[in-house]
Amino acid sequence: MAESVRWRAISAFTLHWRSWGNEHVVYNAGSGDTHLFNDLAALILRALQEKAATLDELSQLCATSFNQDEDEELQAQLNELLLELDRLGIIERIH
Amino acid sequence: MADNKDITKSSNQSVQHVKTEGSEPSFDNFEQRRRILKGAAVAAPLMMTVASRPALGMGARCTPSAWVSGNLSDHKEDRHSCGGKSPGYWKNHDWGGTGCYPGSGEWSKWSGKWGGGSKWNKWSKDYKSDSDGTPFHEFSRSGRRRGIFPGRFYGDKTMMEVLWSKGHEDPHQLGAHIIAAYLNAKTIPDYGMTPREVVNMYDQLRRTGYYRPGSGGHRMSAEEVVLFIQNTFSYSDKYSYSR
Repeated sequence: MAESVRWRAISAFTLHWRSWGNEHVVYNAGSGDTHLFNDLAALILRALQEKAATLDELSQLCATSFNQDEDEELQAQLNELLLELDRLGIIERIH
Repeated sequence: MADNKDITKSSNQSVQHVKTEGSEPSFDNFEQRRRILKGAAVAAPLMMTVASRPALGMGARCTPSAWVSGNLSDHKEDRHSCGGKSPGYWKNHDWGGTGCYPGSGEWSKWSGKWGGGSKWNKWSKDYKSDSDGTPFHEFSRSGRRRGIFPGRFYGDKTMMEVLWSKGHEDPHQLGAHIIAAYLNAKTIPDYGMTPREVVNMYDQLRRTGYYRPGSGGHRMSAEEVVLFIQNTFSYSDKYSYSR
């Protein structure tokens, strides 16, 4: 179920990025909405623009990028983030 | 740092001038990385969303006839403001007000544990494999509901199933884009086409292989119709945001 679900950024639209330090503003040309991300969200969305990934793969990416151990708290937070990005129409689930 | 003033400034800028290159997140510093992840654990990664509402149709080629009246070779560079939503958007957003039904959906449960060991559950709806949504075609053999578009090309598939079709099942993604245009026409005031015009567009395409907007003029192929509909998704660099 959830473990096998893959996510990807919706490619029909261009996302325009601008970053200030560890804050990132992303304008979605599809919805017209503008989002403010921290580094973690920016890393995840960048990864999903490159290729589709599962929650486990994204968790590994975060652990590697930040030189941390994977833990359940991180996975839970990533899961919440993915569902929110999905709700906003920025990413989509593929099965 | 992006305070509110910065964000407002960014939102009012020409989006075409916002370059991706050179502004990507970097994580070069080890201590910074650790701090980021620790901080991320207590702060929401998605910190804020400013929902923009475009001034529909200002200078845009939001109707098929306006679109074909332009130089077709220039369309790749078009950035207009027609307020349309994409097929991807309609896969996972509410269909309220469209008169169509995405399906009853299946609830998927996401489970995990917090750091302290306590469990969390999150539920979200998955419409992908539903067969009880509004059928794509007007007269569907299996559907209990009446569909929207004439013909039989997509068989008994629901609109949601067509949105999720693979490439070979939906050439040029025409069906998915026609659905998006129809749902846009149902929900977006001043969208470039009425729902009836979207249905007529599809009907003419399936019967003749092309769509001719208005009387005379350029004959649009299925690929061009898809490009036109995509054009209604995008935004002009002259566009000013409203918050």
